Amino acid sequence: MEEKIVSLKQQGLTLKQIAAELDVPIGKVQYAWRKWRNQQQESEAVAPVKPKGGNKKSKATVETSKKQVASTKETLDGATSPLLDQGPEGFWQLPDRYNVDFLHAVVQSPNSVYVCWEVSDLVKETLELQFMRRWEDLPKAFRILDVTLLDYSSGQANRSYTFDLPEMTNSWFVRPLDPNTTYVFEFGIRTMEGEFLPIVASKPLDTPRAEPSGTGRFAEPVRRWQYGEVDSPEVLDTLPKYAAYRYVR
Amino acid sequence: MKPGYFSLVLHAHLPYVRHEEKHRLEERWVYEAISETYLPILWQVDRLKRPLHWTVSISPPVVEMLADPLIQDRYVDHLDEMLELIELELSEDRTDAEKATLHFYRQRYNDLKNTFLHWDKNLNEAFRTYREAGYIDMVTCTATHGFNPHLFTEQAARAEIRTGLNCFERHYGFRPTGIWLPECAYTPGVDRILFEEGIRYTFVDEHALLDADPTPEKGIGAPVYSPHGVALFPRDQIISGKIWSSMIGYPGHPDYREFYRDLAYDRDWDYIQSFMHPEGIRFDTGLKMHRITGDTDQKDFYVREWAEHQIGNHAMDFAKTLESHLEAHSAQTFPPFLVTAPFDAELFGHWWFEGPEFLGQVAERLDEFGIETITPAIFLERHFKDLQTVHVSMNTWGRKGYGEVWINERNEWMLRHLHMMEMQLVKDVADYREQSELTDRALKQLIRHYVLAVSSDWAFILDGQTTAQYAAERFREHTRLFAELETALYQDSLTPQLLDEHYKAYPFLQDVDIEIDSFLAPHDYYVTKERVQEDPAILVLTPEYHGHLVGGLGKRVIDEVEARANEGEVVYVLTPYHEGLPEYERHGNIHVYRVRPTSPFLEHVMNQVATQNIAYVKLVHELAKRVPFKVVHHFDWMTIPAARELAHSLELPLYSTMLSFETTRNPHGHGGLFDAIHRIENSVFPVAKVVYVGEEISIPELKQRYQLSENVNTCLPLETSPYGQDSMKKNVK
Repeated sequence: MEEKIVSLKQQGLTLKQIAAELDVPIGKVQYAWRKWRNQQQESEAVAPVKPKGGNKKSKATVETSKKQVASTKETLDGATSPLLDQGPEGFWQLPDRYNVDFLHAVVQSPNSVYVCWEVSDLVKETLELQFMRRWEDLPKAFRILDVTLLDYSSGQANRSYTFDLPEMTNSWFVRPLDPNTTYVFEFGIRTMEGEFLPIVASKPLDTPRAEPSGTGRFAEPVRRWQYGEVDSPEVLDTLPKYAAYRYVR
Repeated sequence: MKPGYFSLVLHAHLPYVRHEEKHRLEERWVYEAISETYLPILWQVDRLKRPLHWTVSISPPVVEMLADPLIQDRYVDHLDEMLELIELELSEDRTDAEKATLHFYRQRYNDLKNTFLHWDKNLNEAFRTYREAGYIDMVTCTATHGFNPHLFTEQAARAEIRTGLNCFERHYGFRPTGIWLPECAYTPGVDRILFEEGIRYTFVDEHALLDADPTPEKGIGAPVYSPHGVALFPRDQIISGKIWSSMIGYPGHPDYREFYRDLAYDRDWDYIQSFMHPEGIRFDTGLKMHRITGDTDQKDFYVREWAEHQIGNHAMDFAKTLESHLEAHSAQTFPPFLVTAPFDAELFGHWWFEGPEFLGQVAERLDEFGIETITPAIFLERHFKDLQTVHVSMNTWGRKGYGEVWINERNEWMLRHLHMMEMQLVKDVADYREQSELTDRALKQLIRHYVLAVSSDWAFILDGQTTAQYAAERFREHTRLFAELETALYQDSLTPQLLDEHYKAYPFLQDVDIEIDSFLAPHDYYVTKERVQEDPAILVLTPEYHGHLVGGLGKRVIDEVEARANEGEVVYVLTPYHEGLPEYERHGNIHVYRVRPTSPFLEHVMNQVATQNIAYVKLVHELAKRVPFKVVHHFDWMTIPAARELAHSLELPLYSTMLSFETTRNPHGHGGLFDAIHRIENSVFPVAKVVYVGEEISIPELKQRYQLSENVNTCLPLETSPYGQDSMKKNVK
């Protein structure tokens, strides 16, 4: 199937046309095409690697084994902006995906949140190796967790709701939700056992209050912070600092 | 003076619509705003010549466009054309009513031109002069009106805020302590950034306070402090509704000028053509000859005297309403009752033609009534001790009070690209800052492209579906320019000419306004600048390491890792997070990452293992951007999927150590999990360079249960490197 897709693409068909031609979801076509293209880029790549940050170690190390320069892939991927993409006619277009892992949620109203996400080929392939099934054949699902006053990383939730998603979905208006509630949203797959396996998750997010609260759950944390009883406020900050190398210690 | 205060706030904003080519319809938005709002408001300030305590917020795009010689000159041409059209109209056979209005317009357009030229075509000078005279106070807005609650990173929010302040300061010579948050959109955390950037007050809609936690004692009768100490001044809906609402407010009065009926549509094409777009597009001239008349399509001609009469009536009515409102709350003390009335400036003059004169007359009536006007800045000087601190949740002054205008089915497609640009900027700044003058210029230009793309106007316009194509195209254009320039940065093909071209496309902001480091994360600074560069490293994936020793595996891993480290190798050990142990530890050449699975909620073993493997893969791919790896070595079946994926995607040789197998641990095993583990174990043989098995395992027996190739060996003595050629060098220190 993948060969067929690549062959049709090389004949100049658009991804949409190929999907129609082969009667398969467009996501599958996109996936196959990108996978092939990435492989091509990697194998064609002979470009000299410019190590970032100036690794001044012996040249011989680099030359004796190209394979060991793990940054090869990164440098090649990084050779163009991820926002650079071409439509079938050769003009720039907004990329339909970035091949990264994220799930971002933003508030639309006290009762609704907009969520968009992406799963990288790496993670898809890891799951394929784990479950010995193709990504397209793993059923996709979405979970809403109410983690109000709980620590999400502890594995606790007040309640949760899981629903199945059509293949190729990458955004959702989640509604109806409750106001003044802390949610985490997750995209994932359903495994053989029917268990929901999250792949990407949002940060915890508060829906706004929609009515006067009297003295609610924030009053005491605000007081503690105001009077210097805690080092940092015990309330969610929707604009935390982001670090590109957050995992590197 | 009576107890209580009134504070008027006017926010002037337009998207940056400056285009080098002539005849862009969107540029007329600027002309209209100058003719109908900015100059008429300035006339009122000039007429009254005294401290009015109006706070005028002027957004950086407006500041920049007002200062732009291209727009200034084109505006003068526009005024000349208008005067020409008025003369032509007057030479035609028009009714007396029309002629009277045309005479009014002739005088008005001459006045507009005179005032504009008086200020050397730069209205920033006018606002600045009146501010320095003490007649008005001024604040600004974020760089391009980005919608804060929907930004992804602190850095983007900070860049918007700081760049806006820098731009304003360059033109106005001071840094305001207040700011207008785009769309009055507040989100928890933005107050922290505002405070750190020197901002002490901003404006929100009244439900921000009414629904605050705890409910403020003074309701909307006083501002509150956000948790990080920024004073939030609430819009008083009852009082402002008198003004902005076309239904219940003053602007809908039948004697006022009708906004939706323009002379351009009442004239034959042949007649009006020379004043219209060269491509034959009809647009509003700004000469509106009719009055609202009533709820009818049959509009009567505008009678200026009637409108002026109504301005007087409405100013008086407003002063009386305000007086009784303040009287009703006169018991409030510490602080006294405050009515804050923030508006889009363009409401006055553009939407409500007579609005600026109304504001001027209201100022006079309030004086006569003894109602004290105040700016938020002065209010805080007097009453900063009397404000309550509360938690305010996300809210805006938009439709239904939250984010529905800026994220819905018509504009949601933009969000992921904006977030991607944010993430890229953080990474690019970390990787390229201070490399050369050219790269720094490129980073600033990338930030410029981003802020132009993140303007809330594009989402707003797409929501309203008027000129939606323009908004979508602008968004795409800025994203494309971002992509092209970022690619040039990556490919080391930057030139001064290229950067000039990018700047000239939209010459918004100067480079001094943009601070690259607003996108820098301290952690990234450490990683890119201070973290020691290491030799190519061994990557070890193991289900057990330190403090969690079960059976022989943990011990074997530790012994092997330490043996390699003693030889001078750098080793990265990835192992599952374990309660009570640090997520990261370093012992000499050994880095230990205890990795949390991507979800803590799973019951089934295989699924737990899967989330652990996903977490490994994500982590290693980020690590690999900074750390060169030379081999992947995994232990036990659980790590096989991640190890296989990493060896494949990073093109590294894979080594496997299997001290036991599911079939040896569990010789009579069967069932789904058993089969799944068996399959995973089997999958390592074809791809591993060598599979090392425990000493007690019989390889021939193993062959009966697995599809072994020739690459299976018994574990080597600890002192022998298992990586053969791949370990290449002994990194003797």
